[in-house]
Amino acid sequence: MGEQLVTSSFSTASTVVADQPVIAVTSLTVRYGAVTALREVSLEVGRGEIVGVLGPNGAGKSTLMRTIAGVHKPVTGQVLLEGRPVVGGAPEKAARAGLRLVPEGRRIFGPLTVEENLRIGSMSRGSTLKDDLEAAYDRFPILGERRSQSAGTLSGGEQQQLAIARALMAHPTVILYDEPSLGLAPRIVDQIFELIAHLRDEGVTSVLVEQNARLALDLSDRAYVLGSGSITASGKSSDLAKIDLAQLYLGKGAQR
Amino acid sequence: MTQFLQQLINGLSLGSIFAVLALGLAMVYGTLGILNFAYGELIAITGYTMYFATQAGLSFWLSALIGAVAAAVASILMQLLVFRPLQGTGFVTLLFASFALSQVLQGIFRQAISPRAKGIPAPEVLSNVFEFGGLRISVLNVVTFVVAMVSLGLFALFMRTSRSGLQMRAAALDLTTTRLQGVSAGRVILLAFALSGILAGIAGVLWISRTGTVTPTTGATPILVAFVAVVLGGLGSTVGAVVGGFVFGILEVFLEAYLPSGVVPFQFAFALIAVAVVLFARPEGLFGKAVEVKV
Amino acid sequence: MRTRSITFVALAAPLALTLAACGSSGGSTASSSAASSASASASSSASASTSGTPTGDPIKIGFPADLSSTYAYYDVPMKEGAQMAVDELNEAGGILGRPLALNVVDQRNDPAESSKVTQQLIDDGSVYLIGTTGDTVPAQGQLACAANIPISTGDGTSPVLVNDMGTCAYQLLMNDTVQGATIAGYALKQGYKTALTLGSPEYPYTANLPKYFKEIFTAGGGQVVADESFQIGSGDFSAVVTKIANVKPAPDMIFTPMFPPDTQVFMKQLRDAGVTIPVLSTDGNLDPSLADAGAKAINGMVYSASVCTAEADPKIAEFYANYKKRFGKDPSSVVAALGYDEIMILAGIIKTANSAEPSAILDGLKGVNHDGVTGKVVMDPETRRAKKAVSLIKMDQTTFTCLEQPEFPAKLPNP
Repeated sequence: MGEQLVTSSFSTASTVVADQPVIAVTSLTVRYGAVTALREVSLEVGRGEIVGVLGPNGAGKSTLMRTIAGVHKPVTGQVLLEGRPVVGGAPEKAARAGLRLVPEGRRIFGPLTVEENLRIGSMSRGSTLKDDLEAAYDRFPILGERRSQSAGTLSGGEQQQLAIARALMAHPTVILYDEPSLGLAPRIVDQIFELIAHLRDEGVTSVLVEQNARLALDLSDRAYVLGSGSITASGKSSDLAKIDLAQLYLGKGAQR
Repeated sequence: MTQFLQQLINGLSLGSIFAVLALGLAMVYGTLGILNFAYGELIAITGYTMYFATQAGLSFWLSALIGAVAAAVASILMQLLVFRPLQGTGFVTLLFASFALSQVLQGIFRQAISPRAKGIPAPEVLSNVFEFGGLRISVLNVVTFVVAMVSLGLFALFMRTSRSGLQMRAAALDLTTTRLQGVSAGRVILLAFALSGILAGIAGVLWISRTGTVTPTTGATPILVAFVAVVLGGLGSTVGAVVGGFVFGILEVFLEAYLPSGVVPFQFAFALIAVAVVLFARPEGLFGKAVEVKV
Repeated sequence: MRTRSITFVALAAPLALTLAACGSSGGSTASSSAASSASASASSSASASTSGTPTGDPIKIGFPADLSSTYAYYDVPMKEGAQMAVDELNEAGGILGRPLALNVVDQRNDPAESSKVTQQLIDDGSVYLIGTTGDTVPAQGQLACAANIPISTGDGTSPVLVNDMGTCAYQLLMNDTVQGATIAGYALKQGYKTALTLGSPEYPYTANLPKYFKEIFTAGGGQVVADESFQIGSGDFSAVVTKIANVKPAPDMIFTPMFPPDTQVFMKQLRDAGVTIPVLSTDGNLDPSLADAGAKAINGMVYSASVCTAEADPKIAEFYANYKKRFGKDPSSVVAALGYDEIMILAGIIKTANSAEPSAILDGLKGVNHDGVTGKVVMDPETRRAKKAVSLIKMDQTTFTCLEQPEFPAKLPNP
């Protein structure tokens, strides 16, 4: 058992969360064959929060995001989105309930045009509104310039913008960002993080997975630290920021 | 020269059928990642439907329409009854399931209908011939080429401009990410099987119009041709499948025309060797995808 | 696919319940071995009630057939005709007072299954085997010969089969050398001087028939101006048709051993290409589906066959009528008449030898001289291939018509 470095078992009521949590994860265990990727993970995300999920490579952060989004089927435990259970193995259902995952590595549709990528983002809304496209191009002018270009030709930063713009086409209530800074120049990372903060101000609840813990703690309200598939620490980001990061990761993650 | 042009026309006509065939097979591979080896039996189903419809007194043209629809329905049923229950069991399981399905269907045709060929007489008008400059082009060849090209055109239009087409193109690239946008996997896959079936039905009508008969193993040549064309064009590329179909059809005709007589029956082997050479030079096929997403 | 085994046993059982006492009178009331089908079927209906029920051990006949794969096309009607003969004979009191039992087991044209099934039929006490028309018949022959059990080539017409199978194998129907020679003779008689042959090395049948034709045609003064090849089952012959259309000067005729469903495609494409010269072919084309190619494609086509059509040959017509009376439907194809004749030949041998021992049957096969439904069968003991003439069929528009029955050719090509 890894000791909880920060045991501030804060009550959700005491922080930003006022009503029912947008995401409630309870005792989640996920296995890939014989390998246990997540073990008894529980967490909550309140409305309008930015919640960080930190941890070293292989800690299970992406698995956690993908399970919340409904890609994986947990062995035990469940994910509640707005109080309703997320069906494992049917990501389209969570997507239609207002959740979007901006996946690790962006996962844009390279051979399709920028505009086609955006249209796919709005598929759960019945029809692509011209206004939505215009709004996306207003927010990301570079995408407007390149709307007819195939998305694979965009730079890394532009692709990350496209991935976020695609998510926004659905008017989501919650966005999960999986490693949005990966492989981007620091200047671009700053822009992306500004954007995430801005979106939170617009009322979008966010979960932010990052290896770069410093960045994530700066931006998020609260954070969980994941090591070897279990939560090893959690608390207010400002509290966690005071702790030596290496030590934070030393929970279970360091046993690797 | 006239003979060369005549052979080129022969090749284009055959190639246009192969192109439609290959595109149908590529549809399902692109979306679901499975090679449906029971695809050839859709051709046989078209043929048997046409046979029973003409026996019942319907016109050839109406029978052809019903035959094509039957292939689409059969394709959807294959997904619902065989592939969907096996979803997630892996490529090899699905591959073998499709082999088994193919064998079972052939057995059913043999036992329930007949091991013998059943004839579907094509209208005499298809045997009329246009002659000019020493070239002879039958109405059937013209109809074949036109129907194939119009089908390919409509298909491209559907995929380019419709909402469902966009969903399918996205799903073919990355199914999970497409689902994460709220697109139902079940619906897209079913649509892929339906389109695959319609294409098989169109190719089937053209093929049956040419052969005039249907047997339990009618699907054997078409599935082989479609498979080779899809691999030649590049697995997962619909454009590649179409080009692969044309190339393979023309290759077959020219090998048959210009190989020495004694080895002509091995034209298929020679065609496969030619394909193997192409794949040696370009392992991803003519239109195989290069790296598509910058990281 | 699921394994499918069907065993057909003679229907002697229900009759045995009605009559307890019985003699061996059945043998004496049946007509002689050379009886035509007409007298055989007539006597069967008359004697069924009077001649008594055969008793004693059944005489077992095995048929390791392909009932569910490629060669079901031939083996199913062989089975149907053989079963009809067995039924008739048993109703007439059996042979030597013993019933006949036909055991048909499906081997699906699978080599391993075929050998297994054949060995089982031999071990079960079969005194005679009907060989499959399928690819596995040489192996079946070798198993039979190792046990000294006689075996036929089934509906297999290749002249080399009996040698591949072994010295216990006999061919009771016409073979491909007879077809090649008869068609060549017909061509010469029509005054054709030049011919183009179209074969395929894929099967012995499609590879050898053009050679047989050529041997007799050239010996008779004809000339083969081109040997072309086709790919079986390719579904498109436009390339070779274009080649044929460009042979200058055009030959007088085309000979091809092509068979359905390829024939229909080839003939349509050939006529569409403006080639109007006569096409001569062989027995694979005696198939109803040929007519579906349409009159424009097949009118005037001539080919050889084991038997003529039901409509045109009174003996075959009577066989069809009897079959329908017994089973309520037509046999799957005219091949059933060959199966019928084979059992009647066997019955004659057993009666004449007064023994159902395999060795006695092997002896008897050498001297077969039988006038059957499908024509006269005379065994050549040297080659173990019957000297049996072929029929010639001509397409009149889309109707199958019988040409005059040719004589057995004076000279045969070398197999």
